[in-house]
Amino acid sequence: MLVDAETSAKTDGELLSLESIEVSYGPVRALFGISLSVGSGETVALIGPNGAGKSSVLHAIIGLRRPNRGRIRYKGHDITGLPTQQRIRLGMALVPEHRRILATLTVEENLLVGGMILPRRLRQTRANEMIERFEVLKRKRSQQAGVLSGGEAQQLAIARALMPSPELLLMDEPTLGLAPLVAAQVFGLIKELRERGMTLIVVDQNPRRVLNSADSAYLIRTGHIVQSGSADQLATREDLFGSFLGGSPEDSGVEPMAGPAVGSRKTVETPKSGSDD
Amino acid sequence: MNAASPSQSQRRQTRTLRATRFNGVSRVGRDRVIADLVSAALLFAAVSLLGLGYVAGEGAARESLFTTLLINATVVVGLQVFLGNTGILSFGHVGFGAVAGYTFAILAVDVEWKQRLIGDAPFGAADLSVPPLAAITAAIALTLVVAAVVGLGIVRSGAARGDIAATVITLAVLFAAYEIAINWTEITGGNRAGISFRPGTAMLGRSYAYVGFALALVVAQLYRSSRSGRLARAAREDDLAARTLGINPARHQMSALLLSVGLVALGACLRVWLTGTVSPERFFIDYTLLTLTMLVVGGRSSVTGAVVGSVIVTALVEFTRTISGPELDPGPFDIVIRPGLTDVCLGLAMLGFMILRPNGLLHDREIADLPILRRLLQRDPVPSPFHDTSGPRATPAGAINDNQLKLTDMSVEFDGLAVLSQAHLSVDRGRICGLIGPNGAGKTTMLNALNGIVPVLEGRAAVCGRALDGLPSYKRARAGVSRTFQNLRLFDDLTVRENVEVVALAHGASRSEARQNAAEMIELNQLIDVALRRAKDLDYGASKRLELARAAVSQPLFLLLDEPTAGFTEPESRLIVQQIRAIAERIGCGVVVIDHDLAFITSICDEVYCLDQGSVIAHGSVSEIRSNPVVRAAYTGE
Amino acid sequence: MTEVVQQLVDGLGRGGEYALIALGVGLIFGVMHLVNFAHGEMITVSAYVSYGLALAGASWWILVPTIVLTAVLTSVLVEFVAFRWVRSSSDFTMLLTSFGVHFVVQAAFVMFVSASSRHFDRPGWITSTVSLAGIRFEVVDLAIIAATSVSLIFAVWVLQRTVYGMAIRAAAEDFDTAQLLGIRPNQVIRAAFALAGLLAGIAAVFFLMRTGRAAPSAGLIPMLKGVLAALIGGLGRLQGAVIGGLLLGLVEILLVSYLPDDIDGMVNGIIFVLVAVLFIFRPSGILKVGPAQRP
Repeated sequence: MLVDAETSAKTDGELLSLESIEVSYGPVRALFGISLSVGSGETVALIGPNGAGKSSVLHAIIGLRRPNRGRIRYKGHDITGLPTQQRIRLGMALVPEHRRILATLTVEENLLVGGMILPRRLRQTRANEMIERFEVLKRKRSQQAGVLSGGEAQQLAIARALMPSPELLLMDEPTLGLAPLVAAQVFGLIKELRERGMTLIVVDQNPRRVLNSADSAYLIRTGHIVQSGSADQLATREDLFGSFLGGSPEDSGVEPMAGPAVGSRKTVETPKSGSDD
Repeated sequence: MNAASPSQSQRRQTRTLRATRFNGVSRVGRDRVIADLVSAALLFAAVSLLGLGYVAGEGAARESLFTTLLINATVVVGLQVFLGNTGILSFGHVGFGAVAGYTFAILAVDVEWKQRLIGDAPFGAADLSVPPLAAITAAIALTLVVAAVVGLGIVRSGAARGDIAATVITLAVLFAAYEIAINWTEITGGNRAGISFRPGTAMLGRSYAYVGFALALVVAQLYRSSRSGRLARAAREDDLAARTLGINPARHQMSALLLSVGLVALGACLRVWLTGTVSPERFFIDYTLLTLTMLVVGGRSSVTGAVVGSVIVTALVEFTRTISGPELDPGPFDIVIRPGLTDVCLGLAMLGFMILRPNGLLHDREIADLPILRRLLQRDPVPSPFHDTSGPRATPAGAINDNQLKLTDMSVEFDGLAVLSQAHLSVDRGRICGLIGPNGAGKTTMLNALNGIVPVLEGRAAVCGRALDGLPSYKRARAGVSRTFQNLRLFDDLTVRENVEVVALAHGASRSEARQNAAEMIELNQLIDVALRRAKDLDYGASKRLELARAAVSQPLFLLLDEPTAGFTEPESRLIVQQIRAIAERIGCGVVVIDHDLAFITSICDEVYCLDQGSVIAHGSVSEIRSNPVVRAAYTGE
Repeated sequence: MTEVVQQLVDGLGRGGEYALIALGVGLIFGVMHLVNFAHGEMITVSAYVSYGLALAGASWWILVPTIVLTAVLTSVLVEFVAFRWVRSSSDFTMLLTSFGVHFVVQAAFVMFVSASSRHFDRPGWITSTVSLAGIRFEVVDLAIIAATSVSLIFAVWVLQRTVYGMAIRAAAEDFDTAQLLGIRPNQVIRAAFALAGLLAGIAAVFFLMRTGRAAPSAGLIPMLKGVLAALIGGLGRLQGAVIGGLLLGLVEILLVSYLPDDIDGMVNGIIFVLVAVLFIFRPSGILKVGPAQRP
């Protein structure tokens, strides 16, 4: 129900590839030549400490941030220069960090706006489907989305991103600020989407959990990919987790990188909902 | 830092410092005043020479045009004081000008003549006549009173709803003045007639126009480099950062408004006196457009820009007036060259500059920034190394009961979502305390609550026994809490040195103290080489160091640092660790630092608080925290 | 009693016009953080178009749709010509840009038509009255109330029920997220300007019916009242704009009725002074500030 039959037909082909993407925020370079490849139907985890550049990768993919070098290919087309709305129409969607639900719109309206690019008939049908699928949304269908709790808001954000039946779903910190039980629900949902054959890229600070739900993973540090491989393989690398808990780079087996790195100078984002940091 | 044997020159300078303090006027302050006066004099001389050259032997029409230019420039320089320093757009200044112009005319026109114009005027105004200069003084005084009252609304709603709200109110002021001028006919003479002087009693010599212009230049230059002016500009660049660093924007906006309105009122009186008449239309939208265009063409952030803009736009207006005049045969341009051409040109000039060059021709460059003058006036010399060896600051006397930063039961909600619930924190002065936790745990919110920039549901905050609850941000900063931000919030258009100096000034340092302290912090943070660059031109590392210097210069009791190493590589982070240590030791403050890089936290902190889901889940020494299973779980999800 | 009802109706009629303008101002402020000081230009341009058509002998049956259409086109055109280029600039720049637009339009009419105002015939029924339950109402008041109610309901319907309205509200709340959902920025801004133009156009119809006058600065005072109404209601809050407009209209009518006759002309001046003073005590406008927003 969540995924169109068309997309769920697994193809082995490559859906998305990034070739040496470089991204800067003003004078600050956030990504240094990131290359990665995502196969159709694959779930990819991006892990790494805060500020490593994980979100910047997603922003480059969805077009919120133009890379100053490199190339992005999607379904065989070069989409490097396309604006965000056109990428959405090509079948991508992003569940943004901090959820960014529209607090003054009702739950249903959030969904309908999420389906802006659909034909009118289909839009309401899809919204109804989503509301059927998510118990919480059904109960609060016509309430303002601002009253939702963190977990509910996250479900709404995901449902909203699923409205146009995307083939590639990007999720930026989907468990941010959620209680463990609620976070587990979100990962349950990720698992469900994965089983239905959707292609997913999930950014999470919590490496264990996200590796358990992914096929392959990339470890990003200071704007570089420092490790990649199958998720199972990375999950066994105890040493990698050390770097999250502040082991020095020596203990983590990760070489320190030269040059300035991430930090979003003058990109003061003011999320309207959700929690911060 | 604390050199054991200060060099010869250092000792000399210390002596000079003492001597100047003894004299009550700091040397820095006197130099500045001289530099400002020289700048004003140069501008005045330049315009006067231009005018004399233009007028020379060409007769009355040119002379009158030049006098008009001087008066308009007075008004525009007056506008610059407010718009330039506060960054708030005001349409109301011409409205204030109307108040001044009418008051002047009502007071100054001789009684007999006035009886014919507004014989029924209330308040006995019809039977009163005072000398022009007294009338000007009274007019300015009255206008200032009006501006003070209206200014309260402008400044308060600007603080509550942003500068746009303030601008809309100024527009209401303009229209209110106009409507009253039209309709309160007993005292204003109404729409058609207005009030005019008896023929022959209007301004005789042109010298008053020169005096007005000179006065405006001096005031604008002095204000620009005054404490209030600099703090107003800091708040213009970043209101939030300014407030958390101890600046009260409203106060300085108000000072700028009053000075600015005073100058505009002076210009308005001269305008009425020169032309011998005042009517509602003369101080309405057309004049607003003219003066605002002058200001934005030259560059609103610069006094020199205001003058240059006045000259250029006056020339433009004169040109369009000549070609659309009736005496000229326009030939094929008949359609275009018509009345209204001037306004179309002004409007297009304004639009063009807004779209293509919103900072005007000069941006914020002043005449004193010309390289040759800069050397002559020694404007912004490279700061000398610091040598006041006072060491860590003693605890301020009184009001201090303990030595702690304390946060109890703090809860914050956004849109009904608990971001911080019953969080607590207590840090001793002299210690470095880390604040860790996964993304979204509420760490930044904790600092924001301490700063008073988010509404707090419940909870108390106190620094060294002094309760912060209910205080506005800038007062909390002055109570000894200073901070940096996760996303840099520098005063972009100010230089590195100004960025640091304004904060010292905001905390009541004298000008020379501010300069000294700033110099010390600039040196300590390795910013000497870039001290004269604008903050927005710095690379990332220097920007981060500048933010640290700016927060530390007020010698806070506690320094709150939000992700000081974000975006840094390991070696850079190590450098920052040393710097934070050096600063903390230097000013003897406590430090609360948020960071995700636990290597950094480990290397710098004496103790650590771990937050998750808005609550403190662990608290202890670094090693305790590292081995705490709850913390580990929060981070890795085990 | 009769008098009170009459005044109420009068005030609602006047307030409705302001509400229409204020709602448009609020919409545009919402999507691009611009207070549009050129919002009155839609009225000015419509006024001259009406004047031209009236000269050619057109009746009000033709004028009404023309006025509305002109306002919509003017609004969209101004966005395209001026505001598009300063969309990401500072507030200062955007405000002065809208002020500049106002000026160029006004001065162009001075240049190509005349500085003095031009008059055209008002519809014949404009001064007629009807009696309902023993109370006499001016027909035009009732027409305004009917038309503004319908337009406000229509605007609310568009904003609340259609997906385009939702897109506008979404963009007004969080422009970046709106883009992320596939909403085209140009389209949504143009839609907001078109809707604002439509509302201003309807206000213009009645304004012009009452005054029958085209002048270069015809739109100035209505614009200012609309902007003030939007500010009183708390800039950017759409219900606030409507409430602010109605309130301003009611206050205005009360002042007209109860002020001594000799200072009747001062009503606008007094209103502006009152508004300026209001913000000393209520810096955020009259409505309660919404839920806490993070800084």
